Amino acid sequence: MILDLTHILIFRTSIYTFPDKLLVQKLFEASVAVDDRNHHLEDVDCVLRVVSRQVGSMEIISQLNALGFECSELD
Amino acid sequence: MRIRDELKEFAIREKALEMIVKNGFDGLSMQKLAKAACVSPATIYIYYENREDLVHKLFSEAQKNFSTFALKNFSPESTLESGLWMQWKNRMRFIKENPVQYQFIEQFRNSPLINHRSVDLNEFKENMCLFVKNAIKRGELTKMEPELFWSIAYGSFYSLFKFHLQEKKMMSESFKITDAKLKQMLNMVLKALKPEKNNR
Repeated sequence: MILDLTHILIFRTSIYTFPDKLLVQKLFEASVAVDDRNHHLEDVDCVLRVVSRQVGSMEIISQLNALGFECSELD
Repeated sequence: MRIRDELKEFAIREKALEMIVKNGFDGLSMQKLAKAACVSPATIYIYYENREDLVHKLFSEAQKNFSTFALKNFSPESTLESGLWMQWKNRMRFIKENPVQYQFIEQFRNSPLINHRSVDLNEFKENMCLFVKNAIKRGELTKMEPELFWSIAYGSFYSLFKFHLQEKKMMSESFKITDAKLKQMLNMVLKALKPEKNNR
């Protein structure tokens, strides 16, 4: 299947620790709208990569903000 | 709609290869790579899930390119002598024209970072197997374990070529490979590979 690049969303986050990462993992596992996600604690921007055909970046940002994390689209 | 930019992808791949060969996998950071390739870090993450994904795709591509070079004008029906000669020349051309990719393959040949089963080398492997089987059938080659065959048939070639690449000196002069030297080694290799009765 060829992946539409538009469905890939890249964020800079404040998810610095492994427990934080698990918390976010649970959030996405509960969401049927997210097809795939990757989180890179080793990256200076703690990059979150989300693949979704249904949700947009604003929705992801507000969900993470609600959990107390900073999150913005990475340029 | 986000459009795939092949020029950006090419720049990312080229710079990543250079960085990994120079500084190793641990020396690869997405930020440094983005700067070197003149793209944003987000662009890299759009094309590649993470560093491991990037390295795996680079390895697959390098192996595919190697296979294309190796199989050019090669027939598995050819005699052991002409087929092996063709393989050596093709592999030499690949290394000369793709020195960074060659070093990268060497670096990751046995790396656990690569899922070797998912690297598609079927056409290459099938051709090499058929070439060996045909040579055995014609009585040009002793039946032996693949590792033994590879070490004699190709290990010798790669060792010699490394001297050429590094211009390593064993005695007083630097070593340069020539067709005459390669032919000399090919004759010795063929002698080592031939069944006992044909070796006199």
